[in-house]
Amino acid sequence: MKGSQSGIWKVISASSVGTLIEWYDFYIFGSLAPIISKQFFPANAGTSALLSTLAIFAAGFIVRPFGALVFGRLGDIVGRKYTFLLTLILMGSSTFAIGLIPGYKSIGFAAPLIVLALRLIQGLALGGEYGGAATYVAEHSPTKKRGLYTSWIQTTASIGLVVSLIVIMLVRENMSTGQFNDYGWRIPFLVSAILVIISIYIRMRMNESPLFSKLKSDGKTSVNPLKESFSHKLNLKMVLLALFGATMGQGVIWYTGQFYALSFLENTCKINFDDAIGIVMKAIIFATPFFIFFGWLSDKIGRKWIMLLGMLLGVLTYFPIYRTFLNNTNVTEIAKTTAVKESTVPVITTATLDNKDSVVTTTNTVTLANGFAYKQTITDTVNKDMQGQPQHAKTVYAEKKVTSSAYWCFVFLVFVQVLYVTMVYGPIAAFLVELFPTRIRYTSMSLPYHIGNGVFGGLVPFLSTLIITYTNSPLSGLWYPVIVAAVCFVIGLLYLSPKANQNVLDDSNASFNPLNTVI
Amino acid sequence: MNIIKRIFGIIWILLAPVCLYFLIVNALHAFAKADKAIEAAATEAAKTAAEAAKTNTILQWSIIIIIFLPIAAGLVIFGKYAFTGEYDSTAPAQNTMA
Repeated sequence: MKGSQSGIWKVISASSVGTLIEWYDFYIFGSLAPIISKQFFPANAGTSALLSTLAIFAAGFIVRPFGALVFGRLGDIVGRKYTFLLTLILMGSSTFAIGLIPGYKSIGFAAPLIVLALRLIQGLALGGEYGGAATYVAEHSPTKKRGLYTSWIQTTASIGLVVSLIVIMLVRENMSTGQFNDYGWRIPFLVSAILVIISIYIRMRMNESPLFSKLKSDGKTSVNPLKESFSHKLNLKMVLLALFGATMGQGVIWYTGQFYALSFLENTCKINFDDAIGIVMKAIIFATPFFIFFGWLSDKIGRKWIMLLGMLLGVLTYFPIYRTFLNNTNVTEIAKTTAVKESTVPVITTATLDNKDSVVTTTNTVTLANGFAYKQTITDTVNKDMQGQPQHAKTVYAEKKVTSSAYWCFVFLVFVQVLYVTMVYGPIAAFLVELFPTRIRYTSMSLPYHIGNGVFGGLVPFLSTLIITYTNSPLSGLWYPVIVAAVCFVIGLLYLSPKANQNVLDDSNASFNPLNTVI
Repeated sequence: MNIIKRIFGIIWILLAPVCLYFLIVNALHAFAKADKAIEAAATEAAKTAAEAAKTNTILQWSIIIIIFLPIAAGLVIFGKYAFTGEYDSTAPAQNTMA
């Protein structure tokens, strides 16, 4: 029993650490995208801007689901261990290579082409990694603890994001902005190599999944997992149910809670970058243990209701939550009730336009009595015929520093959103592996997962911004995740079975203990 | 409950082309907006930037619509299965699950 326990923890740690590193690798590119764009995709270099779009869009939307198919098939034919070892090597080496590529100034057009290729490899590897790790852990887990054990894999996406932000912040703090933009941004990419080598060493020492080994020794592995997954009606209907009744809603809840929240605080509320990052990081750190909690709970009461409740709460509370963000950062309203404590000396700059009009920009930092501070930029256009009378005065507030109480209120509200993420995401690995038989599990579960997260989740920033530009209402962007989550909730409610702890040992005898084979 | 499941099947079948229509209309709107930006560009540099932005817009929307086509087809198939009772409580489940 003790051996089994230590065995399962080796399985969980080997799988989780590798998956965490893959997420770390994937996120650092996203977090450093503005700097990478300047290094590799200069806007004035024509086609390179297109490659930048491809790198960002294609890696998430096309290549991830494609990776799920390629590596899912491989995992169902060759085995889980070697497949997710391969995805780790691909991800690690491409990340490390991005850190070494000379910039556009040195090698010209080759630079963005190489980066694009490496980014696509990253997306491909990520598409293959998750299904392998989740399947591998689930196939080692006893039936009644499958939700608990696979939930460790579920923590890795959030922890990977936090680790990537911490590494970037540490590097940033130890050099000047100029040094960081020049070469410092490469360090987080190069650090990945050390992490990946450790993870590869750990994974090399692991055995193949006992269920898959048994299947292989019995000669029952699938010859064509893709055909079996998507052309057999019994399986295809489960793939579609997994996508439209679970992963689609899970994807938008996940992206809204972690990424859209950060983007909204930084770009819409105009909170200063450090505070926005601090708020989201604290919320994620506080909420991460709940992945384990809801994974454990799903073993007791079933996966369905926990996931659906997470979606429903998101649908019902996103608008009030984001309205609170806006209200607590609305300078005009706050300044009405709070006196100005201090204001810096305004910096005035004047620029003359081609038509002889002048643009006068006045910038100063204002701190209110309650501690709320902001940078105020007033732009006046002085018409040459108006003899110095300004027109079109426009005031922009940025780099806001919210009060201490508002700060912690925001941490709580982001925490609540990440809590929804833990509800929908914590049990989903166990839910997905239980839907499909061992012989085609890797392929069948990977595709709905990556379409749900990569496509539906990945479109949250793009479609939300699009809706805002049409409506001019900063909250209207929430309609996309709310509608998708609501549709998914209805589908899940109607069609998902509430049954929990289905027997994953489908191709084996009931007394078979997978943990006995773990080293 | 099975009747509700089947009725909703029709909704899922209809939802797919509606979503696709929404995406295509928005894409065309975005292309038209990009065209206007090119026409409105005052300098050569602004025109080049606007043309690059248009190509980018076309690329982004093409990727989204292309990737959404099989998803929409999947939603139609899902709706058809729901409508024909494949997800009814008495329908055969995954045959290998206990």
